[in-house]
Amino acid sequence: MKISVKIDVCSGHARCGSLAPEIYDADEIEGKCVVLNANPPSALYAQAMRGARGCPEQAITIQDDDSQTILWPPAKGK
Amino acid sequence: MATRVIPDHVPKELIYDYDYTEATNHKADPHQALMELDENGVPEIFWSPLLKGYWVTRRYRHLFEIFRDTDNFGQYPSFIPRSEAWSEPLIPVEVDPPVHTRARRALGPLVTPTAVRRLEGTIRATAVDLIQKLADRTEVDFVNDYSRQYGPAIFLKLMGLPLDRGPEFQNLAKTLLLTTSDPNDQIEAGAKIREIIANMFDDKEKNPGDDWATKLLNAKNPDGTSAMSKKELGSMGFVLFIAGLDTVMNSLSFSFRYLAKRPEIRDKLRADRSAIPLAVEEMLRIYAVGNNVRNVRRDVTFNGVQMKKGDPVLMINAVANRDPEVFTDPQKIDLTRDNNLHLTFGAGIHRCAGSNLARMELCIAIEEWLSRIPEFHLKDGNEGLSIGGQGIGLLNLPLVLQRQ
Repeated sequence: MKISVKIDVCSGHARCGSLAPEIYDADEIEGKCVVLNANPPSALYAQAMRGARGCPEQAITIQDDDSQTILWPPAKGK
Repeated sequence: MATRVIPDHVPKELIYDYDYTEATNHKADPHQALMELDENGVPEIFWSPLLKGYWVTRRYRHLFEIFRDTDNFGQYPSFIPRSEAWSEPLIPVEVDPPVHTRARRALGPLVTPTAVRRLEGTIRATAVDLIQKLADRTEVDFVNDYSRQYGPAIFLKLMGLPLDRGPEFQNLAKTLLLTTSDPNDQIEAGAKIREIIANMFDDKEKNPGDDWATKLLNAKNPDGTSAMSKKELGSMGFVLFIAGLDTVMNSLSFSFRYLAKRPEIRDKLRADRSAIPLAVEEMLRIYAVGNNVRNVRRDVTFNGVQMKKGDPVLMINAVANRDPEVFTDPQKIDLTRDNNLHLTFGAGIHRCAGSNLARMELCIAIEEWLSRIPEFHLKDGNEGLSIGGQGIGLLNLPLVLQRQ
């Protein structure tokens, strides 16, 4: 799993870090997303997805390593 | 009867007379009252000729788009109808980059999750102090005896202002924000608040402290110059004063009304404090305390509707937060809902800067209240009286407190 953030889309809601504190945090200046673990172990996959789904801006993208499939966000709308 | 305003570009089939303030005033359940638009089959986007005329939107996907489309939808003026109590664009809510960027640069570090965690002790002490004052009462009006005092007390502490000014601040805020206030009194209250804020920054310049006012004065741009002029700080201080008051107050009032009716939920949250943050999130969703306003910046076709430059647009967050396209079982209050993309704090660059502070204030109020006053219920089943408009709240909430 590979996690990336569109930082210009992130508006600093900080829901990701709240829902998935082992994967995401917020920086100290703007409160924008900082990915602590961009290639998390499989034990943290569920947490990573939870944080991504909780982003009100859909700024977080999660890709599967093997298939390159985009796991989040969904292809069209929500 | 006020004049109805219908511009030429508005098609007849999209006209529906709607006064969003009236719709949410004096209701037991003002949020459900807004859902009547759906129940009555009113178009997803419609023009109300009332209140000088405005577009009304309520679908999640529409609001999400408008919140983030700052090219087509501007923030000024952000009230329908415009009140004279606000004379210039407010910073940062009604301004664009680069002023907006400088303002958020100054404010941002004060309200990051890390910064807010450092305020936990201050907020908790404020909550405990207010709750202890009610300790031997058997009946309280939750709105006036608790939630109306909580926000101003925290504001005073954060800004480094004398705490004995609490009652004065509460009265000014109440006059300014209640839609039932006399307009002249509102203007006077607005001017008075601005004067207090200006004096505060003058004083903090001479007597700096470990407080928000001093930090805002000292905020710098990347090139080392001051991020905000004194005049800009005056506007931002005014926004900070009003922003955290009725929003947190109203959210608490609705949350406590729900808790007053649900002893099993109170027990659950008291036994497991870690469940409170998600519960608060769900209260924020179901009891959205504000509607947002934008103004069309240039002629645009939005989801098939022709809008013209200058048209006001109301966004009804409470309905979007119950949109079945986004939320499973949207009308159900599910305090464990963890995929909760509510729009109560907005989205995009103007999303509520204080959301993390607000969340902490709400969580702490519930934690401290439940641990001290676990048993309470509505007095005579009285649900209180709602007040509507851009802010949706309760004017009163009589509670009976039970002692073991």
